[in-house]
Amino acid sequence: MRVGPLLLLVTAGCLTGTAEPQVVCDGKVVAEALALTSDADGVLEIPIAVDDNDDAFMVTTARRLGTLSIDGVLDPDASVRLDWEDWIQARDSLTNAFYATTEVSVLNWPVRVEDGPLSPGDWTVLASTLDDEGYPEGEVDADVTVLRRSCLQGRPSLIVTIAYADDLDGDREVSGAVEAAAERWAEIYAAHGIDLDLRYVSANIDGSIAEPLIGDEEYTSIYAEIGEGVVVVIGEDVAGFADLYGEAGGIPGPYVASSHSGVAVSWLIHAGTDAAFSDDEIEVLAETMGHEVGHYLGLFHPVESSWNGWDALGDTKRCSATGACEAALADNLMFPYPVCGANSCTAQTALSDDQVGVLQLNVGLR
Amino acid sequence: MILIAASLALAGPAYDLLKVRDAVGCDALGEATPALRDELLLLAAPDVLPSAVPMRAALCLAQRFGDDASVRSTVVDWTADPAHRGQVLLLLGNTDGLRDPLASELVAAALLAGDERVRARARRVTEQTSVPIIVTP
Repeated sequence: MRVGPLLLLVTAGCLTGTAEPQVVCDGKVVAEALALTSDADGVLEIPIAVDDNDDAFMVTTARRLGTLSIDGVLDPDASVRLDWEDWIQARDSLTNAFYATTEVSVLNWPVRVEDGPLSPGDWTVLASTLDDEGYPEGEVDADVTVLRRSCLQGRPSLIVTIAYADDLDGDREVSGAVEAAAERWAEIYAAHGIDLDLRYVSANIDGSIAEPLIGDEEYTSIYAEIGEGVVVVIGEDVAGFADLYGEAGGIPGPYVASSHSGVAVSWLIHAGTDAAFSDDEIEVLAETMGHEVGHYLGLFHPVESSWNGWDALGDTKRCSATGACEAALADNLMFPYPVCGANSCTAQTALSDDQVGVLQLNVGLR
Repeated sequence: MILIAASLALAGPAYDLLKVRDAVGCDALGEATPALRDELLLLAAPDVLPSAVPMRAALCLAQRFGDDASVRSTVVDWTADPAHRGQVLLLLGNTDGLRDPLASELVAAALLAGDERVRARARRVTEQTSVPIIVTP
């Protein structure tokens, strides 16, 4: 494996030249861009020098051609802390980093509170470069970005930029509802100890917005301009899937410009048959924003609507049938659908302690 | 009687598929039977919750049953009803997935709708696609 020149993109909050390392918890992030080449077997070893301040890191891999999966994590003692083979066939979902379905793979580590804390030293993330059929392909160049976050002190916050497609910011009927929903989403996250720093911009793209999970260069361009936090693109609908509430670019999603760097939300599907937002519809729109960004920050559904797949968290109740799952989890923000009766829907604002733990370990929170 | 029918639709398999946040697709609803058509017509009612369900039901109704004259008439009539404005906007944004004559009849009626947003959306369709439009006052 060759390691290319290391480019320090951002440094902040790091101590240098001190004999006794001090822990400074300022939540700031150091970003390193690495140009690596896999060995003859397609194995890529990504070095991560964790210092005393770091409490989480994120690795984003992008191969110039084909796909690249993240296979595992080794701690400074070379002990295996994460092995893709433990999860690839499991019914519990921990991260989508293992699945080489797109040209970008993202791993945030630790994923869960129980996976941490990080110890200082030289960590290694193992990845594979794959051919188009998913078999290892050796001697392949890959671009890797490593983000290391200094530990947090006080309430964490997340920068969220809401990008209106198709001049929707000038449409007060829509933008007024979106802003009310965003404020409501901020209340939902705040109740779990996470503050949102909301910003609004206009994006010069068509109102039928692309799917970020499939990937589109629109997201690369928008994120390159904004450059931080999570970008939520509001459009009339999601192209090709007019029935989608919204979609996240990954679980978790990246914090570098890529074709997956965003969350798409359809305003029209939420506004209902009359295309005029009621208070209840604004509530569901708020919950969709919180739900989809929850995916972007690393959360899975506590149970899939097929009732045979679950998240990997210990305190989201296990269930395997409609009645039992709705009874146990209908109020959970990450439940796979809104639970409604004839006149109203159950507010979906709850998160378990383990779910909040996943959110707080995501390097996007500062 | 209508309330009972609507309640049955809410307990039906189509409702369970249409309510989930992830994309399902209209093909997942199964064979295009009269029973499915009737279920979708009930689910397309404005008071069904969550409001994504009647939106998706409208899309599936138009995509799967657009050749049915009664469905075509219902969908085209929505262009004159403010309670269905959102469904009309959704369908106008997806005319590529609709067969003629439904697509052209829908756009033609929408061009004459009372609602400016609907008319503007229909104008964009005529500018962007090759749907043949015959406007009759």
